[in-house]
Amino acid sequence: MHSVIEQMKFQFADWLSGKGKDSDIIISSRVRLARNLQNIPFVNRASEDQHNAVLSTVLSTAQKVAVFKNAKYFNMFALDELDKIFFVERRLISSEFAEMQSPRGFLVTDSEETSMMINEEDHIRIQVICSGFSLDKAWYSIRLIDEEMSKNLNYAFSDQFGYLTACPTNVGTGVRFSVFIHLPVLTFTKKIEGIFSEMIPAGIAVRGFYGEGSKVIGNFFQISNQYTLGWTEQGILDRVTPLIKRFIIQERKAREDIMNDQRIVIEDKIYRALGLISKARILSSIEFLDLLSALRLGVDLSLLKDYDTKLFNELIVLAQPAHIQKLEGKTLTEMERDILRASLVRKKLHLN
Amino acid sequence: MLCEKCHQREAVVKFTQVIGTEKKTLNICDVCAEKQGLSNPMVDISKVFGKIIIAILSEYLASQTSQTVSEKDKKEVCKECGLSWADFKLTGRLGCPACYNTFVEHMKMLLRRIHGNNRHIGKPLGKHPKEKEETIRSLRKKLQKYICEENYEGAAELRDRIRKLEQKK
Repeated sequence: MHSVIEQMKFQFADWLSGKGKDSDIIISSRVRLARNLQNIPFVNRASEDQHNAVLSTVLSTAQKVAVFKNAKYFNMFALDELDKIFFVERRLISSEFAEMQSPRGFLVTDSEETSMMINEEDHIRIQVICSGFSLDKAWYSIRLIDEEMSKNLNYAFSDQFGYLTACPTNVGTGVRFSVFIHLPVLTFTKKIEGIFSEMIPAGIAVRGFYGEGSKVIGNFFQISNQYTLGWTEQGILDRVTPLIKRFIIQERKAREDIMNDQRIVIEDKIYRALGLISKARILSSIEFLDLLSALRLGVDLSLLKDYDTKLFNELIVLAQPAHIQKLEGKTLTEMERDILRASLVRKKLHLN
Repeated sequence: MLCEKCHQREAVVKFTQVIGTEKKTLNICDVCAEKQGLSNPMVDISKVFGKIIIAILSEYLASQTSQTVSEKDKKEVCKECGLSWADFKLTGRLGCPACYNTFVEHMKMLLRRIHGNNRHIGKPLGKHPKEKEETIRSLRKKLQKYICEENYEGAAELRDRIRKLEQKK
């Protein structure tokens, strides 16, 4: 298992490829499905024997599903703390899953597009992540997995409430659609505040770092559905999609406007970021994200022709604390990490 | 302003969440931001605000009763897993699938608060509805073909299958 992880640290998930529709603005699209088995308590109340029973039943069923045929399985008891954070940074498991103590494990395909946590908050959490704006594609593929799994498992289901989950916020369809969206110019021009107070419909959540008079981190936002009950899966998707499209259109327009009216201002921001990143010797992950956001915009606006979106997507993962320590092969202090981050980024951007 | 997580360092980052018209912000320091995994924009940050459910829950409870956990709540217990309504009020997590039935009246009200609705209309157990429609459509095509070929036995069989599928909810 250790050699598998050693190999993984040099590879990147397909969803970081920067391919797919609108991938200049949408980094990735993710669909998650929550399911539980009938007649067994939810994870927080199940006994150790029940945890083990769920683990073996779900695992053997999942391994028969085509997409998981060659998937790797990780038992969480076999991983050390650093490994666990490494997988959190790759978005294959949640930080809660990393910190739990009960029997649990996860499956992941080679491309890291599809994965499944067993015994997280719910018995089964399936996720599909794709590059760019591709919720449809992700939904299509998770639907097939769900279909296959349901042939051999008795899911906890009620006619009134649908698929039953440990937390009432997931009940019904058990589906969560989300995208990671990069909105640097809307944030820079402070238009984002207005958009947020105008156009978020009920049942949809937008989260991110922004706000009057404070530092912005990276200009990345998450958009996802909050309602999971009382809508069909397609209905939820049809509700989230137009909102995401509006964000894309507004960001594109803001980019066009600023390139026409204040080109020098945006060029200054991007080239300053390039200057800082090429000279910095100590780089915190938060400062790094700010610079990365500016450089990524530089690529989108064709100002930085030597780089591509893929490289910056990969760096978001690679420059995370556990990845830096995995690359170095040992645990490091925060200062040591910040120093290594600075040199790693210079190397990756050929700025030595 | 002090960090709302550690209450020690100066807050330098503002994390904002908007759900519909409701906006919440959290002011935190660099160190807590990194510790919470917030420096990784890829990480699922939906749990940053702690348990949203508990906030909704306490709002719901406040409208119902002045006490947070009453003696009556401790006596409402799920026969399957032993979870009491009082336990749920504290954790925001149910104990087993049967809990939804045990606390059905509470759940109907709570789910309406969370989702604006309390009846499932999505995928039923088994096949996805869209797939069912696709199956029916292809069976109908086949049926037409059988009728053209005057294969009435096959057509009758198909007709019954389509009828059965359509009746299934």
